[in-house]
Amino acid sequence: MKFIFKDSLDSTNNLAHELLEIGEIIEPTVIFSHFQTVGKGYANNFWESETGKNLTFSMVVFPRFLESNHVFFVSIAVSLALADFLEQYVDNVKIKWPNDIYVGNFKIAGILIENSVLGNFLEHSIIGIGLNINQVKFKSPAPNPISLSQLTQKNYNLNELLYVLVEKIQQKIIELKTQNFELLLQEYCSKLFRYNEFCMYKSEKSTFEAKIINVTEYGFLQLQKKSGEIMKFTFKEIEFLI
Amino acid sequence: MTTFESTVKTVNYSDKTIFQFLTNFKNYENLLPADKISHFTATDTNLSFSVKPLGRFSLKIVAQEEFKKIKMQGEAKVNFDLYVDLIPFTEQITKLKVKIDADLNPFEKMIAAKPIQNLVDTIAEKAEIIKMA
Repeated sequence: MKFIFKDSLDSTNNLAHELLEIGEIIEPTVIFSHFQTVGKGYANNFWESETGKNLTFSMVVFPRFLESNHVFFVSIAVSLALADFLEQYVDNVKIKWPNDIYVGNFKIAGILIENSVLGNFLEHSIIGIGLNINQVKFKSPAPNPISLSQLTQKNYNLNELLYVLVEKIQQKIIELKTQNFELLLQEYCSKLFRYNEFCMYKSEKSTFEAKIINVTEYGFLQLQKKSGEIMKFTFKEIEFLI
Repeated sequence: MTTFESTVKTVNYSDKTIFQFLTNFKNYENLLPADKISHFTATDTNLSFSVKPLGRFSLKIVAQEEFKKIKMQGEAKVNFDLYVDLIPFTEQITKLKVKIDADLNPFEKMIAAKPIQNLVDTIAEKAEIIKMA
């Protein structure tokens, strides 16, 4: 694993794109920045006031053994690795479909994955992660934030955490080689935020009460209404009302 | 008088540990809704912070019954009382509830009900998941 450290850049995912394009990244690589001025996946630029408090990085991996119809498993692997990492420190870690990590009702991390496909297989994946570590003041409009430090009343060394987390993600990506998709999906579902609990959701058409009963191997969220009716959604078609 | 109550939470600490944690104002920065508050200051006797869109809140502890009840008096645009109630469930598990009583006229209620409810819910929900010892 190669590491690139930057004091500041607009988005680690953008740099990953550029370096991939010019052939500068040909092996698994981590790009770590102390803060991002336009962190992708975050709608604002307030990170600057809390320079160096959080883990914001991108990781480029090459899961070329993975068929492109299994692309959602990259997201599963990363979510499980993050959950596993956080569970060393706190309880109640949940994966909020499709790409956030929660502790209780509070958001601690966001994931943004950009995949590139070549033929029937994946070529590379750029995994962008923002994980709140030492921050205690939040000015961002992202709802319900929490940090590891707030949960444990401790301060952390970011570099140390980065190495441990990156290692965990890499392990989980390698695990995908076993093609044991059913087991991974089960583990993923067992950690889902609001799994099997009736809650309010908002789709394009309406607001309704339903419970999550499954996430399919293609990443669709399956909800069931009290009437028994089952509905399927993809990213962006459905919103949790918290 | 309008009452805002959290649901009853189950906290994996003894009543004593929680009581000690919640009577220390410095711990409240991690309990409040982080995206809604700013200008947090805590001393031994006073807690103050701004809540969007309600303005400045200032709190002090006015009564406490050891390991069972904490009562804080709050000053903001309106006066209110904040209570934390603890009931031991087992030696290491405690039930916790947060409550705010506020004097609100109908207009204030319209503006303040949601943020105040969010405040009591967040304190209770975070008390349930954060490490206190």
